[in-house]
Amino acid sequence: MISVVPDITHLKAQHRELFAAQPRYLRRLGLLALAVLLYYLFFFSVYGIDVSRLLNGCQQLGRYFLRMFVWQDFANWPFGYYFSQVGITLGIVFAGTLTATLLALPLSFLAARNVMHSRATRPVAFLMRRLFDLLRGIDMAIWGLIFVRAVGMGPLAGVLAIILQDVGLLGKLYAEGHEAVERSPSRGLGAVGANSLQKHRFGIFTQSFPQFLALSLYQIESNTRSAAVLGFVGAGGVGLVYAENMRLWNWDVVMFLTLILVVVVMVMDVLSSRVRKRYISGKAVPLWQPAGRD
Amino acid sequence: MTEFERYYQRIRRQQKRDTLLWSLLLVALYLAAGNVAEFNLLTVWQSLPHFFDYLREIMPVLHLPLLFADGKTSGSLAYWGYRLPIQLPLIWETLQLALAATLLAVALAAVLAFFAADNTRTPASLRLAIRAFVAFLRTMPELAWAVMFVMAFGIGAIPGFLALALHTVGSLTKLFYEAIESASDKPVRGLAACGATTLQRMRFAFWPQVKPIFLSYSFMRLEINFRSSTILGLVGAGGIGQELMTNIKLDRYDQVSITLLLILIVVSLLDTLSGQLRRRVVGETA
Repeated sequence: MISVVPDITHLKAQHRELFAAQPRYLRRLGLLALAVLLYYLFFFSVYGIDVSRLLNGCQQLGRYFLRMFVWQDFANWPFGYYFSQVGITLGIVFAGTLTATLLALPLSFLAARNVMHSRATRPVAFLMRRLFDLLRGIDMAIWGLIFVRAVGMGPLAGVLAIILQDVGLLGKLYAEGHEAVERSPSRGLGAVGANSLQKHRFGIFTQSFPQFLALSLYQIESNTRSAAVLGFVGAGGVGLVYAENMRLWNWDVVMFLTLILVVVVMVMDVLSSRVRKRYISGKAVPLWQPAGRD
Repeated sequence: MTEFERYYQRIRRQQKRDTLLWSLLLVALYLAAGNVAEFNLLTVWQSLPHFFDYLREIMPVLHLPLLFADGKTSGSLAYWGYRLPIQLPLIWETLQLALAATLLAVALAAVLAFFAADNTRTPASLRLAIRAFVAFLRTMPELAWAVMFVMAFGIGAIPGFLALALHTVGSLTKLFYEAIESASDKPVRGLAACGATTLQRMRFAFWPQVKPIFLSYSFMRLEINFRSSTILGLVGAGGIGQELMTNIKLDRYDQVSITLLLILIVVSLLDTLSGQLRRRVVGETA
């Protein structure tokens, strides 16, 4: 006989395994939470600050945030200066990322294992990868600091910092794109007598091109966000304005600049998604309609 | 000329014109950007030798016969690493900063993301408010957050931790809510039809779908956070950055190279470790 209300105790006895899963899961979750809690206890006991300083600091923070929303003397701000610095940041990002793209593309072929597959060239791929790791492992601001010391203050140091960091990052990602391609077009091209350069151009790059474009566009966008730190170390751009105004307690300007950057990043997001759509999915070519048929 | 050839020429002309226009636009933008950023062949040609000179200068002086001599002899490994007792605790602190900030941010972002996604039936006003808030958090540069917290709490690791955590909440929430939005709707509707509550729908319909994505983004973010925690010290927010900046500014050349070497070693170790961990955790649950 089928009972309408399921007999839970009977079901539990029948499917012990199934009903044990939930308590086991909860137990594991509890253990994980406990571990995280213990870790934070350790972290705060080592690096923590005492309560009076914490309260005092929170009070200060409240004051900063209040000042962020009251824009005093808005009409007399040096807008020309702010916008020219934003423009310099965009210039640094664009020049840096584009140059890095141009440099990373040939290098990424040297790092792709399916291009460098013979015994003699495999060490080249390994070395290229280590070089990319080295360039990528050091943060943009640190490269900026080094370049400011080596070539002097100014936007040039920022451009060079972006180039070095991005050659590492983009080179690695492009190489992964080249490695993920389908092998058969290359083999087909080899069979009809293409040389190895033609095989790479038409067999590999045509397939990895969408990824190449998407990565470069994304990198321009993400660099716009992170290039603000370059100004803090003297490598040009909007970070300088941030640093100046924070020292002067102009929190309203800080807020204004952040809002401007939010808008700039959003506009770039829209633009890059349009370019992506145009060039990755492509525009339909009108097919040839033979007139004389049927 | 046949009709097909005419058609072919027409399409080809059109495509060539498009390519030419876009290339010209790109080149013009590139030149303009280079002009604004004082970046051109001449300045690069003049400044690259300085860079290579600097690289040559930061190379440590090591003499092979004296390699294992004591710290007083110039040319030994011990002489090169005489500040290691200061630097190693600092790099440990950097690592702790990155780990603590990432853990906290993952927890916060995972909760916020459910409220910010547009397929979880959150009120639109709350959703938009959260989205604007996290956009603000991630667009304000990490160093700006760090400067602010250093001014409020004084020099130390806690300002760095807070700055990093806030920035990470900003960027992870966006990635997380995009992951939730791309999750399939079918399990959700199925559970709703059985009379599941909102919490049960989140837990049993969305969570299993997005968990691997959340975990792999979190590991990726841990690697990124370690890299950015090395710069927090530039403004006094804890970690190895302070040491590195002093070394660069005071021209302690051999110490610059050993600090960079330490950072690189830890970054590559962390990359390998988190790659393996990610493969285990994600592979197990996927």
